[in-house]
Amino acid sequence: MTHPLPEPRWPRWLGLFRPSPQAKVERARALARRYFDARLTWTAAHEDEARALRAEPTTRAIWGRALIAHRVMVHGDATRATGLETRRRLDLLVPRRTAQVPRFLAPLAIAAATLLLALVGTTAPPEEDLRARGMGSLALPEPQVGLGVGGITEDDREYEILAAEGVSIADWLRFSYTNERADLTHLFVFGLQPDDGGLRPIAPLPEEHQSVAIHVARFAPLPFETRVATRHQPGRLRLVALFTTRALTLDEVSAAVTAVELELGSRLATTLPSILEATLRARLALTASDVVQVLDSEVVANPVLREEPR
Amino acid sequence: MEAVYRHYLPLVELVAGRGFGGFGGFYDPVLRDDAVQAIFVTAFEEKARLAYDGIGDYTRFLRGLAQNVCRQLLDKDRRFARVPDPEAVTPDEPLDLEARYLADEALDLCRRFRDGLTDPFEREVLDRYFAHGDSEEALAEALGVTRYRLRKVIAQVGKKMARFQKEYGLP
Repeated sequence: MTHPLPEPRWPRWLGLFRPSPQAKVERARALARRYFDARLTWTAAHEDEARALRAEPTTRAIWGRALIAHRVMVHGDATRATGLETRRRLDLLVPRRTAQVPRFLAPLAIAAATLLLALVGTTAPPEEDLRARGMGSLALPEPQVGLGVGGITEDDREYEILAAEGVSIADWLRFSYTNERADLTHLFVFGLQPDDGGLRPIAPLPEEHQSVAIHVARFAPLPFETRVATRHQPGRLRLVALFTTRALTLDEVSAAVTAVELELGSRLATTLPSILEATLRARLALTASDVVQVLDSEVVANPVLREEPR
Repeated sequence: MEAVYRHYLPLVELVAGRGFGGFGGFYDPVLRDDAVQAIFVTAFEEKARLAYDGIGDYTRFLRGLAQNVCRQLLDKDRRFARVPDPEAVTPDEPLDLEARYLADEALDLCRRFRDGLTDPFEREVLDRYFAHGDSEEALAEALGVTRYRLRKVIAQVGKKMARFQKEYGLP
């Protein structure tokens, strides 16, 4: 592909002359145009040059304007990288292995390819060979849906409560979710803790009245954190995440949990997650496409993370 | 590596964008992108790959690595330093990155680009190739066209974007 943009006006290989600010601005514009143009290639040399220009506030602002304009034009969200940007970055990290044939060898390569085609044409493989190949690669991975729960210490250190096998009563809970299914648009999270022999449902926040709206994302944080000590006590903690196609209200979920408690009695605390899931599904009239996730952990009285050495 | 990159990109963006400990994250999207790339470069280096035992939770490993890279950038790279930048927004100001770089009118214009694409095939290419990042191969198969035909449409959309930006004086 030809290079339609002006080359730098200063001899980079000499390194003796400093480019004028205007030359830098023009070069930053040219490079930004190239980066966000899917028709043009982007090499490591371009990236090195662009990174050097992005180090300066003026040229970084030029890059920033082009970046925001591109993102808003493509998907309307200025904070999220587009597929083109991801591809550019990936190509720098994991260069694609493409056959580079020197120009003077091109006629030979064409002749060899023609000969190969002719040979393949005369000795066509049996049909079953064609079917057998590549069948395994057609399987697509299941879309992932799930809740992530992190514990946050007072000094803002984060840990995963499932890996750490508990969350300290003195810490905060931070939630994130992964949702690769566009049909699941709402998430309701609540906790269950033993209380006077039974389990009490706990919404993450007192003012939380219904499911939060979610979108297709991975590790997307939920817009709130909850201090464990406010409404929890040391002991078993069962967290339930309801990924649904419609919004659920707190009243609806509370009524369902009460009904489940009546149905399962004291077994609610120890029953298998699958039984709790099935009972909740029935009580909340959830459809087969809705996802119920049950995570078992514990609230502990002692700190989960040790003090960081100073 | 590509699968690892695509899967863990949101996590790395979260660490670079929202920060950790006493660090509030890189709010400038340009710096944040550079930090994300630096994190993945480090993660894909042989030293880091060998450091991962293959048994433990990779999310945890990567998060720790990302935090270390961010610390290094803050300490060693001048442009990432926590020195107040006169052009940067202060924490007291509302965090509006779009407005920082582009005026509202320009943003409205950008949002109108998609509406200007009348061909549904071009819209599909904009959504799936440009926005979502589908590969040419997968997209051509899904749309039932040859890769050559798809490349032509990608080029057409790219050309329309460039023309749109030029026409309205967008950056």
